[in-house]
Amino acid sequence: MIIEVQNLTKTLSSGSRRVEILRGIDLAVRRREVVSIEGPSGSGKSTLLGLLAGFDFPTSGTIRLDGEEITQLDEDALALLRGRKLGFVFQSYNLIPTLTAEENVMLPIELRQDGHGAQGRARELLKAVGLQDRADHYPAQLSGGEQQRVALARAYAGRPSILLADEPTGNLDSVTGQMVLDQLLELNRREGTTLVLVTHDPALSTVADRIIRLLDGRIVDEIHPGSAHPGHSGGRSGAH
Amino acid sequence: MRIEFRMAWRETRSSWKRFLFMIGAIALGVGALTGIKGFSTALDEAMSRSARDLIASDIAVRMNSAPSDEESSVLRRLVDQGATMTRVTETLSMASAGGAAQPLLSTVKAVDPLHYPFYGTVQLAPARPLREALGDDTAIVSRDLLIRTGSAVGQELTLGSARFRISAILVNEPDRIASGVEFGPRILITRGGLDKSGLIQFGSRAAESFLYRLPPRGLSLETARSTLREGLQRRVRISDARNPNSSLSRGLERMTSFLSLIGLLALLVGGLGVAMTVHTYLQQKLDNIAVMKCLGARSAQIIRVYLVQGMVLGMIGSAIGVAGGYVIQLLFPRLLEGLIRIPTELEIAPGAALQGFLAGMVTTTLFLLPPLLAVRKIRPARVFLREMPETRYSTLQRLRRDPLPLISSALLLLGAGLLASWLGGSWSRGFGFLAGLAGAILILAAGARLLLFALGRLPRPSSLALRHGLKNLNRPGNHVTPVLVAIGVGVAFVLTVYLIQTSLLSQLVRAAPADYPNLFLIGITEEDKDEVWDFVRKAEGVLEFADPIPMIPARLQTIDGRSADEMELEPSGRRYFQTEFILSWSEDVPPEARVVEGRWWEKPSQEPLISVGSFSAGRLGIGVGSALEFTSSGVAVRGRVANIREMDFVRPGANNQFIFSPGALKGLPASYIGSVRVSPSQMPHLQKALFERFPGITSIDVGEVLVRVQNLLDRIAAIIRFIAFFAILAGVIILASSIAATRYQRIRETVLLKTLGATRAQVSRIQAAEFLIIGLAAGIIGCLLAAAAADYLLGSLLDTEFEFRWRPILAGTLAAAALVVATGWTTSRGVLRHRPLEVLREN
Repeated sequence: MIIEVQNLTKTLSSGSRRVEILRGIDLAVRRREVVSIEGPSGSGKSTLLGLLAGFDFPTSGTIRLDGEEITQLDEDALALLRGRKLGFVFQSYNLIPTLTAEENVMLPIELRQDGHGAQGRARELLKAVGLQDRADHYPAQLSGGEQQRVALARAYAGRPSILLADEPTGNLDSVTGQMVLDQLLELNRREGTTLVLVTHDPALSTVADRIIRLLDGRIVDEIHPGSAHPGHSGGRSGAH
Repeated sequence: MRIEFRMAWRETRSSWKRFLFMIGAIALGVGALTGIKGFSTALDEAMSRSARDLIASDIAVRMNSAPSDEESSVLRRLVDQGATMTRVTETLSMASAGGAAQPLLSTVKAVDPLHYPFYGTVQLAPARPLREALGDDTAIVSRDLLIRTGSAVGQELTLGSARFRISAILVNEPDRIASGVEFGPRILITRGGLDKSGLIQFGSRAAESFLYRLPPRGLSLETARSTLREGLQRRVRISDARNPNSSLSRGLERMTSFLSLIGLLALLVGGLGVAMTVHTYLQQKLDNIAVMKCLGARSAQIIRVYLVQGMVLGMIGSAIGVAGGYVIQLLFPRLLEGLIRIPTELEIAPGAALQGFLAGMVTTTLFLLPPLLAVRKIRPARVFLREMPETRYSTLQRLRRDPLPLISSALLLLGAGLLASWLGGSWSRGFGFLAGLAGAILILAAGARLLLFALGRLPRPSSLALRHGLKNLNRPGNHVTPVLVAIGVGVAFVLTVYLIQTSLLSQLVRAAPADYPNLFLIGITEEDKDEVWDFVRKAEGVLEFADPIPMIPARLQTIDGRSADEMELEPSGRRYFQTEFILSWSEDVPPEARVVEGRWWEKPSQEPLISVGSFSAGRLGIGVGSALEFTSSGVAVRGRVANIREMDFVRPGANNQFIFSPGALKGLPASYIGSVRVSPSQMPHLQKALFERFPGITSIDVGEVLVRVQNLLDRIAAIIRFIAFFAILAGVIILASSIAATRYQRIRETVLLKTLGATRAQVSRIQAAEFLIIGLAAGIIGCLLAAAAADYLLGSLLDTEFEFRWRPILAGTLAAAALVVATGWTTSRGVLRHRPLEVLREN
């Protein structure tokens, strides 16, 4: 298993109010699997994804990425881990506005001290997303779809073993969204990456090996679109 | 590290304009600092380069009265060892030229043209050698004497009882810098001419210099110096080619280290600008930084990126500052004109440039760290979990969890203190300066907070402009506190200097009120005394005169039978034994003096009694009953201290430290000093008549002296203000930077207001109200701070009183407000121009 989550909870307190966002998630994802996490607004999808990426610390439970327990790591160790193993695609692209498309893609490689071949890799990926002619453009000079394609290229730049995507087509119209999705899957196939995505987009769900449904911080359903039998809540992974 | 440089470059590339303020703030501080340091270093170098010319000899001794026989024999010892000696006498005297012209108080310098100067040349116009131009019957005068008397070369000059023909114009003497502050036009005559003039009588105040040229071999500078130093017991100034003018160098060093600290003030205000710019910049980069963290960047890596960026910008600012400092260095001799003589050729000093550059870099780094540390707090989760609430901690908990901000602040203070000590030349001066500055900043910051708090609680003002202006103060990123601190510190400094200057001046004016003597007569001989007084009594316009006060030069030998060596004295007390004093006698308590201990003598007593000034009594540990022994003209004078007296005003005769009872000094040769109150319209006539009848007497118009002192104070204050002005400019830059940082917000607000029906005039008024409040607050707090500082400095350091006056405080406050409003207007120019649609469409 490349991702193993056990009894994960996240509770936030705001003043006297306590909000339980995740209430005991168990999840396992196999290498190269494509998993889609679905659920209504506030169900805890993005929080789960953020915890998987080490953007925040859970209240309890464990997360293992590629066999490495990450909940005990400090900020810097998490940053290093992300640089080594994780790619991330955001709904709102989050390109750095002061960098050109190519520089944005180079950044994850450059942030590792071994930044050799960053430019070659960036060009290769920009070509893969069809933006080789836009390498010198700044984010503000690109359309939303183009920005998200640059973000895809950036996510794959560091050759991550796991790619996490938070509503990658959420801000795009359906045609552009489809194009971005195709490119995401193509890159995923080519790079041999494990893909976990959070989405509302039914088109995205259809391409997943497994769909996990979240409601009020719990996994309520697991569907394997390839097989006719849906799984059950509490979703033990790898059950197929 | 390469990625950090690359990232820093990419960051700066797109937003270099907003860093112009930061570069400007650092450049200003470094410029002020480099200018001052560069000037002082260049002056030092020029002085040591032409050291022999500056003293016109290899070694020179200067004393404030003629040497005794014993001292003369010490002075001759060097001649016996092969040195050549020449004597130069400088004194003040009345001189008239071109016939009937009014006499002028002038500085007379008597030299032997066959020897003087040993090095360097006396520049004359028309150019000719000194020994050709100067004989016993001729005089060389400075151009201002010719202008003020309306005379010309070739005409006659009357000096004392002798007449001279003006043979040339004096342009410069090599050792002029040794003369110190000049009084009136300069006249050069021979020693024979001086004797003929009869200017030097017993008790005349004249500076005597002995210049030596050492033989090529046999007598070293060290030997010569120690021969003089050990042989001459009293305080004399010995200058040699290695140390051409120690008192001038010391004075300059003190002045430049003081000015350097003001320069540092500008630099630290600039540093505040750095911290503010970086803070605002990072606030706008929070998302980018979070994204970078998502992509695997560690906090340290990101901090390094912005550190590199800040340091490179600091480097650019420092480099521009160093270049600007050179221009300031060139301006300095003009500012000092009339204060001291500056050698004309000053070269650029690379050491000072390096010092200024380093100070700029250190300041940039120190001020970068606190805002940069905040990078560690930015969590990657903020990119997509905005609603996530942050856990709140108390200040103490925060410090316990993360002591780094505290450490970085301590580092900042320590660094600034070290920098101040380095520039100010002493630990106590450096850290004292820092403590004062930190106090001022704390008060200003507290004032700013209090102001915001109080304004928030005011009843809603009815004026729309005022209401919105007040609201705008709380706009995010508006930085009211640092802006107030930056402007306030500058205002406080400039006004402190002004208040001290005016307080000292009014003190001076009070020391010479209208019903006090306005003309002093110096150098009245025993023989002339009665005749002079008779003459004055009958002269027209004389309103009042007092009996002439005797002046007897003497040196203190023992106190209660013990010499200086046998007593435990501070150096300041020891100096009393090495200095020549003026003794005097009086029947009554002098005006403006009051006895604070003991009693004044009522009738002539048999035993010689002494009244001692409280200042000297304190220094020497003298009390009522102490026995003092002086020598005057080789005769011992003894007396017992009858009282200690305090004096309020500076007035010849009244402030003699040692006044004897009548008869105690009988038989000792004395000269007299007289004070007269004469109606101002008759002053020139009386001076002229006195000069014609008693040419040897120097008459000093108090009004003229006051004007000179005022000019001197004005000049010193102007120099300080010039440097302090840089601190204000740095404050203005900070204000401009703060306004520029909120520019986009201001445009949006303006547009929204316009959409809702506000006119341009209304929006302008709202902006003006905001700037006016900030300006007035900075002005008021800064001015009150200045009043407190002036009160403290005048009281504790100068022992005079500070008079609180509203006018300068009000003027300072209004000037600060005007400056802030003007800066605000200039920086937010164009904000009003935007049309609603173009702005609203962007969102």
